[in-house]
Amino acid sequence: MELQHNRHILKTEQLSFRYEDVKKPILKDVQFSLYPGEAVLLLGPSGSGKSTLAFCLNKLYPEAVDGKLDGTISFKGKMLEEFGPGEINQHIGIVFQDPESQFCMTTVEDELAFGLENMKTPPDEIESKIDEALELVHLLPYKHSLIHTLSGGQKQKLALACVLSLKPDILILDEPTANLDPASSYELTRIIKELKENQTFSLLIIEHKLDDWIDLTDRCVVLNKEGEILFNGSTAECFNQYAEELLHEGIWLPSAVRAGLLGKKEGIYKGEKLPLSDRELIAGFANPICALQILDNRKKKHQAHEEQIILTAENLSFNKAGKDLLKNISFSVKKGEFVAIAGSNGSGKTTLSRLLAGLYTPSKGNILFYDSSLSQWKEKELRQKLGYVFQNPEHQFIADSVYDEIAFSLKIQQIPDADIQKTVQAALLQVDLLQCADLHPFSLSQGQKRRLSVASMLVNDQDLLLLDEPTFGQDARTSGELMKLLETKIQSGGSVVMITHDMEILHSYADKVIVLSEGEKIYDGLPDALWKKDEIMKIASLKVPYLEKLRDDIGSIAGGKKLVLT
Amino acid sequence: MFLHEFNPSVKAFTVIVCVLILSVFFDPVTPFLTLVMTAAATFIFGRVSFKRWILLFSPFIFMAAIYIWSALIFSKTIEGETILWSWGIFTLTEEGFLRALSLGMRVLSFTSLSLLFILTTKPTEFLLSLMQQCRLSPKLAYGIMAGYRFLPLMKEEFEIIRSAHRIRGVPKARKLSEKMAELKRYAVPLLAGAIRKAERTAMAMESKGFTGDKNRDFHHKISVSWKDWACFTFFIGAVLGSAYISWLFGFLQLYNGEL
Repeated sequence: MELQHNRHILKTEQLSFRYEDVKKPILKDVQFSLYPGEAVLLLGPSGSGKSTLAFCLNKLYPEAVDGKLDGTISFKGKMLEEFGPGEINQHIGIVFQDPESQFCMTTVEDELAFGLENMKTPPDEIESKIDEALELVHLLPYKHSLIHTLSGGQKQKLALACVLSLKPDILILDEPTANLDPASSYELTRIIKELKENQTFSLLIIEHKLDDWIDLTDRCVVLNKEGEILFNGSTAECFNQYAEELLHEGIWLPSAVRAGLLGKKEGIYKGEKLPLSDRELIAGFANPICALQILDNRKKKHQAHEEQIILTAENLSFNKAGKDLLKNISFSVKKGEFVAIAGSNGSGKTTLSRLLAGLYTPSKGNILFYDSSLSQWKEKELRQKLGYVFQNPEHQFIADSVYDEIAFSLKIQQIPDADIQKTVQAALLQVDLLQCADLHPFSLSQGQKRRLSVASMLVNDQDLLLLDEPTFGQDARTSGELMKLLETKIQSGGSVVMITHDMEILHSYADKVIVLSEGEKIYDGLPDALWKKDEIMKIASLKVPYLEKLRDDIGSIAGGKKLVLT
Repeated sequence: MFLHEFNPSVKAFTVIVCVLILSVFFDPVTPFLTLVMTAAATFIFGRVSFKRWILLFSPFIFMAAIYIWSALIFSKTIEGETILWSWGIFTLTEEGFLRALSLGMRVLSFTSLSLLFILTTKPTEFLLSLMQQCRLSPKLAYGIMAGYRFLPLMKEEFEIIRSAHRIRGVPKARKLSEKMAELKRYAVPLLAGAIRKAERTAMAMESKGFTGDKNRDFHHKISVSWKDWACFTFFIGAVLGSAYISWLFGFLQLYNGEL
């Protein structure tokens, strides 16, 4: 690659980092360079130190935490320590994962001005720079808006604009789309692609879901669980040669690569290299249409659905502070059914799940759980039959150790200690956390926290489990393990209601999909039928799952061929 | 000129000076006239709706009423005062009545001045003005601004923690001891959550190059002009005018340790 011959703009040598009171380092001997104008994808399983590395490069670490950094980082040949306070931030900008906690002012304009003032921009230039940056991310109409009224996607665009206004040489994106719905996240990647074509900065992207990013990255750097560099090279080479290793580390693969890998195993993919794009993938199949059937990983539908309805929502409405958050929603959940709730950010999904869990009381309408209204249930008995998993696992933790966390609800029921111990041990074993039993829940890794939060809801063997976006920000392994747990739940006769942005989950697992938009139910039915309803897909900011997209692509290619032939 | 455009620092200074002047006098008429004037200014120049104002003002009316009541009932009677009414151990004198009224009016006039400031000032602008006019350290000012954004989030966080307990089947706390235990259980995660959020925001501020440097050129300039000082003079004049009118009618009295 010709870019590599340029002089590097950022270089780390033997970079190690560890927290002061922890022996095990987060990063170990990390050595890599970033060249002007290139886009690098930083991959790794959760807990591998990707964010830590990003913060070190930005000089946020080790100053912000009690940590020790060994080795060197240099920017344009100058050591990072030699830069004055705040100086490096003009050159290296970062967009964080959480849209809520990265702003410190109340309006869009003030937030942008904040960064520019910090950089000592002459006041008479600030106005034009603000407009310019907002124009780049298509947010100019919102210049005078209050930040808390923006949607999640708009907030991330604003965060991007804040960084761009400083004209950085390097832009670091730390999982910028993790909290966004599929359409907003796609839009953000397109804006970044557009920017990359017109501007000269280098990009360092940390992401789990790679499909939308793959066409704009030149190179991949992969970290393993120990915080060491596993691979550093071109994107094509990375996925061609190391796909299996990446999979083993629990790293998400781009859909095309995953499909190619599966195809290769089944002996239907004939391409020499694993495909990076759909075009390559389709070209590699001898018989694409046949391949589709093999690749389709949809679970076998439960043929013998027990027709017993365990939860019914009747004309649910909910308003808060004069706003109608939910309007007239009705649906039901059968025993053994997997129901998914989808919709854009702010469409009322979480509110609905809280209503179903009995945490909020509906303004109008009724929820029946086993023939009696939720409000008639005794709290203690209800919680033994109905579990709720929060979007953020940390929100759920209330005990001081992993063991107590799971034992908590059992203790409330005054079950004998010996039985509790047995149940907890079994649950910990099921989610592979036995060795962490004495740790504090907050000290676990992201993936472990997620598994713990689900495990604490499985011990009672609840009949219905409600989950609020349990897979967001999780690596491939955690996500897979989680879905396995839920599958077991379903097979043993439990029901699952899950909010998700992940169209692949909808496609592979859901028996029924409910789509919300602005508090109203706009779809209730099979996932397969949903993909064909273009209008609903658009209103709800959904995207077709990969396999459906592939089917369309194959169709259009085949159609094209036919046209050529005739 | 509207009160919203009144420089926040000068406005705050005006309110403080007015309060100080008012505390020198102790008669019901001066604070009453000031109260009327301040309230009128709030409605006319501050464009504050009466409904909103009275909502915030009414608790203080209640408070003032209690003050007046207790000062009436429990006032000491000094030799030579005009007795208006007497029943058993309670004696109401004209002077005692005026004292009680003065106290109540004082409370209300202070309240109206504070409301004038609160209802016509944006917190962000006040902090910007404090930085620009009073050399308040940016570290502190931006810290307060970020913290101000967190306040509504704390309530949300509290709800979340309570839900987390409810889904585990924690029964509702009824007895006092249970409530204390509940509070203790909530306090730690609430604090931990606040600290984590604060850390994240601090990092975001730092990543935008914030160093707390005092030499800062602001995009949003809050200036002081002759208009602000004219406004200042107007309010001080109005308070002194109230005192003058009170003196004309023979009510004016200096505060002399009556309470």
